[in-house]
Amino acid sequence: MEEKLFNSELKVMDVLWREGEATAKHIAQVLSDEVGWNVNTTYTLIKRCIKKGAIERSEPNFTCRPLIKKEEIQRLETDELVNKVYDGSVDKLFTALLGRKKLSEDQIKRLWAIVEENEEK
Amino acid sequence: MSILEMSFYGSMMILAVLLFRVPLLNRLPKRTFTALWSIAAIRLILPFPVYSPFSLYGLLSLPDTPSESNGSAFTYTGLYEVTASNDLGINTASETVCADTYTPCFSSSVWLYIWLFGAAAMALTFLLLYFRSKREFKASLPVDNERINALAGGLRLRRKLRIRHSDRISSPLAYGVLRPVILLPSSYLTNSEEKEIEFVLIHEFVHICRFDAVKKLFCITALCLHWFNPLVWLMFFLFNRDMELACDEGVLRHMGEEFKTQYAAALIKAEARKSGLDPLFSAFAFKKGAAAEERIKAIMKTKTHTLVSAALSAILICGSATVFASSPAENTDNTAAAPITSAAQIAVEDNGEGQIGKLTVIEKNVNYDENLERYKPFGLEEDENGILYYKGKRVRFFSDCTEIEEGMEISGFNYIDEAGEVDIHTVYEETPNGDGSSNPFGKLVGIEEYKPDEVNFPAMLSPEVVSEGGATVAFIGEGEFEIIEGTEGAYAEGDGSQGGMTLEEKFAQYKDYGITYDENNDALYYNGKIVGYFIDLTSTGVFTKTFEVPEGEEGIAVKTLYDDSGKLCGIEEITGTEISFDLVETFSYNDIEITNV
Repeated sequence: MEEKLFNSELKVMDVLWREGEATAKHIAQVLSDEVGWNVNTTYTLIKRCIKKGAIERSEPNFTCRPLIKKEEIQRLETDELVNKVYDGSVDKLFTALLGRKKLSEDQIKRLWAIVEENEEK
Repeated sequence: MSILEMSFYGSMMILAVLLFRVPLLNRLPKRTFTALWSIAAIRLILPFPVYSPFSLYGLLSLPDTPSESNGSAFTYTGLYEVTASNDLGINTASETVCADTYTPCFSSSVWLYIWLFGAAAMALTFLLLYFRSKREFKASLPVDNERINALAGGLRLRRKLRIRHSDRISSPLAYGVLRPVILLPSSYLTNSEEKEIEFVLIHEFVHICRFDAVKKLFCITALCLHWFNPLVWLMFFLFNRDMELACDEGVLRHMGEEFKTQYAAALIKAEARKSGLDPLFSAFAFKKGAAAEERIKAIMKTKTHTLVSAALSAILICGSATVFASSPAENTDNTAAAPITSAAQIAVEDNGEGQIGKLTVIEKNVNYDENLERYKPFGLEEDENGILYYKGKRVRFFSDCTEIEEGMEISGFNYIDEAGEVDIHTVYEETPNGDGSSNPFGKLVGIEEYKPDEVNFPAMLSPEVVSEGGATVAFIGEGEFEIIEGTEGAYAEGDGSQGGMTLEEKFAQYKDYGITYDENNDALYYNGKIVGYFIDLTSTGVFTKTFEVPEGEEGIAVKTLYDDSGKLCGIEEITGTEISFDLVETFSYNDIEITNV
């Protein structure tokens, strides 16, 4: 998957990430309740996701399956954020995050754990 | 009204607004100019004239746009059964197809197609842009942010207003007429201060309140129809710009003048983020440097407007509309008698020796309402009393007629109104009937005025009188004719029955002008010269007499002269070569006799 997913498309993916697999009809139903989109709009977005390689369509019933995991997207977005806004430096992002609010001890411990984990890689 | 006419009136209005805009833009409420532009746009779209006694065009006696009206595509059916001269058989005109009022009335139909193509291309482009944008906007997400929704709650609107966000736009905008939506870029949700959001919301709110989207729609429609007119393009740019200026003014009015600087700062900040769909929606920031400057300047110069300026702008708006956007109308004086109309049938028959022209009145005071539609595109209008107007001027004589030979016109339908001032007639293009003959009433291509002396009006006035008598005239060869048949009251050649008068009595009428009749020798003299041919051509009849001239002498030919009121005023000699020419010339529609059925 090369192209970036827009907010609206991410919303569609969100439904699939929550429910695993779903028919297009079902997705449309859910989104109609959640964000007020009509069926056509949702279908258009689903088709765009398919084109971008984020969703796989299978018959019968126009069943949709996510081809990309939520975590992957998160990683991609973070990478982009780091590169675009924090000059490619994870440290800077880290500092910004730390500076924002007070972390609890638990959170700090967990953070260190992650750092170590990554250092080993 | 034709497109050219609409463009003309619209352009005049645009020029007027431009004239006022330069000095007054910062002195009057900006809404004045959006109102003026709206009037101009509406003027450009409406296909019919709106009359007012104060119209500039009437006051200046400006010539109306020339209607070389040719080339609109419709044919006519009618009362007419015409047999074409010289040839073959009877044919009836074909089916009526009504032309669209937006006929450009250019000089040929090539221009019509060019215009259509341009208009269609424009319309298609805008439609495409619109639907593409609409699709994107539909995929926007609702705003959950408490702060923002609280601010939005403060905006009172009769219609339901929604706030949504999208990461596909770079500048806030408003769309939708029945269910308006303010669309914010997603970054605004996290990345902006409270005041900024407030400015944005109020700005878009003002756009929505004023139905700016509708105004833009009118503007775009006008542009599609008048894509060839550079003034309309200018109006398009200025209208949009003025709408933004008026909107800024509205925001500051709502929030208070003291926020001028902050508002300007917010605008500059938002300048970097732009949306690519501006023609159709009211975006927050602006594109070009000059427009930006004008806007910031205008914001900083904003001051509350006094009652005086409000009053002034009202006067300006009403005044401009009546003066520039309306068409002149005559003062209708309805004391004159109802117009006389008649429908007639023409037949040109070949009797073996030549053609006979016969005009028969088949119905008086015809209701020609259903026919009026055909004439409308060429400037003919009817008011509620049945009075006809040609381009605003009251019609005196209108003849639906066509020329079948040079100087020879046949008339199907006459309208007479004594109180009128302009004499007009139809212009037809002869069309082939497919069987070799052609229909002189084939295609209506225009309505034109008669030249000043062409219509002998007083003679038109009493078809009743005319119908008491008449004659059938035969045309033999070029322009020569003789009467072959007379009905009661008519004058016929040589048989002595000149409406009950003897020849002596008849010629006594011309005594004062040098005519003497020698009854004993059946000879006629004009100022002592012997006359070989005498013709008295009037609207009520034609009287001719050929005299035998003694051998060795040459007789002259003489004709009668009538003044404008139809009174005999002289006798004149005509030369041999003149005879045909003269007769062809004078024997026009108003001199053909009408025989009563």
